[in-house]
Amino acid sequence: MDESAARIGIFVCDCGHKIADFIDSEVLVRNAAAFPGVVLARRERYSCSKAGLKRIQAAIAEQGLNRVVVAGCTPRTHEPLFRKACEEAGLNGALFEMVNIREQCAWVHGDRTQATNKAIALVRMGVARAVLLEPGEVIEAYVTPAVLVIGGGTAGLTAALAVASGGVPVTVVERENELGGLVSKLHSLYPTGRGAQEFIAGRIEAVQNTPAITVLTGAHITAVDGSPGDYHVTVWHNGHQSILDAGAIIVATGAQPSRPWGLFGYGRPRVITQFELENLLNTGGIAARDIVMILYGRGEQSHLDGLSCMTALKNAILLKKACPERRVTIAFSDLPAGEPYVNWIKEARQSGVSFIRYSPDRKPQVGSEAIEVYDVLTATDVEIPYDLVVLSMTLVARADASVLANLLHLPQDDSGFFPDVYTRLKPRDYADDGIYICGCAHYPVATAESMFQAYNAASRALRYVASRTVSSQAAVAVVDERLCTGCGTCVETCSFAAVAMEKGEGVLNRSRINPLRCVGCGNCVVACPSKAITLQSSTDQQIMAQISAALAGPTDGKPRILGFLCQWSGYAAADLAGARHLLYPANVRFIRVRCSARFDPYHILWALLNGADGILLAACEPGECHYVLGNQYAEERIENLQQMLAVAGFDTRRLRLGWFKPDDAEGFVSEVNAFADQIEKLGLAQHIS
Amino acid sequence: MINITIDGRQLQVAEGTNILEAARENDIEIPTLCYHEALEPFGACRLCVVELEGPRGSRLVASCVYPCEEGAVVHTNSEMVQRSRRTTVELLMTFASHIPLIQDLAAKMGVGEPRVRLEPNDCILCGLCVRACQEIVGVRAISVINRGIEKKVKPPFEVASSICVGCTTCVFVCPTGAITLDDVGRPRPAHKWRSEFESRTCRVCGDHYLVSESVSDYRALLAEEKLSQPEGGRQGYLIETYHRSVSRG
Repeated sequence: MDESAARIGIFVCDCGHKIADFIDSEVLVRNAAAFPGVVLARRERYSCSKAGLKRIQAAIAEQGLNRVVVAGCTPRTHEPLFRKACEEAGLNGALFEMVNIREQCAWVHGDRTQATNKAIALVRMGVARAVLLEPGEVIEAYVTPAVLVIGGGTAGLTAALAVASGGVPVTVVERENELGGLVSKLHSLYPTGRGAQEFIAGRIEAVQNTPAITVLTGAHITAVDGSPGDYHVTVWHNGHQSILDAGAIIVATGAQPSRPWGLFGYGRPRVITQFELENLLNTGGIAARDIVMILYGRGEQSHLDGLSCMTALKNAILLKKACPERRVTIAFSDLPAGEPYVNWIKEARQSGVSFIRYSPDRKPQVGSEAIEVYDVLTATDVEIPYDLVVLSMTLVARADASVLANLLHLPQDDSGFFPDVYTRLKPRDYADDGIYICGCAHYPVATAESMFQAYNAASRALRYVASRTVSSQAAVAVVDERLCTGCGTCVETCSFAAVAMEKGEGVLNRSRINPLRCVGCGNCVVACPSKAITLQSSTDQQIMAQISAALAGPTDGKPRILGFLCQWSGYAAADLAGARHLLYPANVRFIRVRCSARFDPYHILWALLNGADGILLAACEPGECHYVLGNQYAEERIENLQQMLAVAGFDTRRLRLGWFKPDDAEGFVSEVNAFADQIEKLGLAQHIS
Repeated sequence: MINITIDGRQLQVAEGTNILEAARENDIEIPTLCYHEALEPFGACRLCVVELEGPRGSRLVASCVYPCEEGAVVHTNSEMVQRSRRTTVELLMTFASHIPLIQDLAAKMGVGEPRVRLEPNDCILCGLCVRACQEIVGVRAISVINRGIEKKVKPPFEVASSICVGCTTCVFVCPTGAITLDDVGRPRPAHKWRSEFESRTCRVCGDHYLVSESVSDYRALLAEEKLSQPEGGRQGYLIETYHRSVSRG
């Protein structure tokens, strides 16, 4: 929209006395009324009170305003309130703009004239941006009413049954030719002592008798396309591939038993793991008379997980009871305490299992006939002859877990398991809505907890599928197909897999951004070499208009400093600095962007060409970007720009990228003061031409 | 419109306005700690109490949650109100006398040393952070837990919240500066940062390896050594790690 069509209403808030004490609101209103496109500029005592909001709504109706600008406090707390009021009055919420003259102007400069001048500049920036605002729309998509379960073990089957009982069709994809997973290779389950075979057979039968469940065995997944709520999963099955549509995906791929080659003589014929013992128990009896079990935690965190400890206790009792004259010894360095374990340890003691405690520094030595243990309690070396040594080894992530991690964009922890996504900061990867993890794929769990997690995942998947539609209101990036050259740079830069290449007309491919996946960080917008991508509500035109407006006013001979602040770190710290009334010079103007990935070298050059003397960029600390790698991209871009500028004879001290913590107001202010001092010393910039 | 008298001034206010808003609209300031324009009123701090005249004598009401009534007569700074506020501030002083905001209030109202001293605490339980998290951010990562003197603001089960988005709106709205951001997440490898190299332990053999940057050296190393062990061995894991770090990288 150009200025002639804009009808902007500006409401300058006194905030009681909290702004009016520091800024001359009358002067501000008088100046604001003269800005192009402004039809109404009014002073308000409290524009955020119920009466104030009503007055804004009345002004929208009476004056036919198509843009509303409120100059007052920080948008971080009050923007939703005003947006809602605008929408109630029939004005699209995206056409509202807030100018922060309280936290980032009135409270931080100490000088009334300077603060008022800065407030005028800030309102000029806000108006320049408001003219270019576009109405936002809500993007909606349907959720496919079907669920895909990957993995046909205990967790997968339980989840499939639970989802099917909710009336949603389920497909189970199992890699092996038989359903059942790890449990089908076990002998018995604790705490019930129930046969594992019997248990899993019951599950499999129930699944096969449920018409809503389709089972694909010997199948594997090769590709996952689509977006949250509408996945298209390519499955290889019986030599041909088919595409399954699913609204939600439950990952229940399980884990695999570890095989600790070399540890405690593993690899010798009579040294086996608990998992192999279960197999032996299944296929036939155990003839061994002297059995030694070693409980061993792995690595630096040598704590033993409950799963492998309980397995050892269960099998020790089982073996002892089956043949009372058998000698069963458990060598341990640590046993878990707590309700279930203590009871099992007691039962093992009562049935005649002997326990021996070794020191973690002196691990048991497995010889060819006997095992040598240093008994901590008697401080003696004990030699125990053995027929069979059984090692307790925990489950490890499946070797092919990373394949699935890549397909579904799941995060993996150091051991290769899929952890819960830490939403606060997703530094490595991300997981979509509509993807749920349960069972041993998560971390090693026993059957009971595996089932519990399966029910949990199933209920969440059901809830997601039952929501029918997913919507995204966030401002997203959009590709202009006429400008796209199909280079694919955006696909590489997106940390959220929101961008994909599509076959376009003619020879070129076209990039397309999935609005439901896009988080609006702006990384692709900056990366696009042909400038074909625009970010709604943070377009190049809007930011450049803000820059021009920020640099347009009189200077009083002071250098002009422009700051681009990431909303998660720099902007938050600036607000906090305001709330604490920490002072910094008034010749600094801030522009808020969603992520440091939006720091565009072109904008910086534009600012320098328009007379900026210093540019401060505030990003989140390394590894703490809320959009995965935004600050890392920013660092690379700014470094390149600095090198270029240095070649052009520009003093790169005028361009600074800093890392900030959102709650470190003092750090922010000292950084801003130091930068302003430096620019003051360097003096006004020689204009680049 | 409703007619109301505040401190002797005849005012006309819109229906549904509460006394605090009506007063502030008309330049009558009432002190508050837990009121925030962007949030629903909460009535926690009791500092905004005003005297409301009634047929059976005056009573104190919290002005932030009390709606204006036709013909109501309100005094915002009467002796009764001041007495109540002084008690409130004295109670705050018992545990929060180190906070400048509370010191200012006490000085303004002439409250001296409190008669009792409790263990110092930054949190005055105004609930601003909890409401901001819920109403502005829409996350509900923190809530007020327990009752009475045990009352405090915590994430569920008092463990680091997995749904907190780290927006620090709570830090911003906190009037006493009781909240700071603490990074309690598991250590995150910062791959490409020049300043940080993180060495980790191989989960099978216990050897240390470096991420990303040194992977090319391992590639050379791996080309020389043939894979001899079937699975889970050092080389196998290194290759897996290498692939993973490269595909992430």
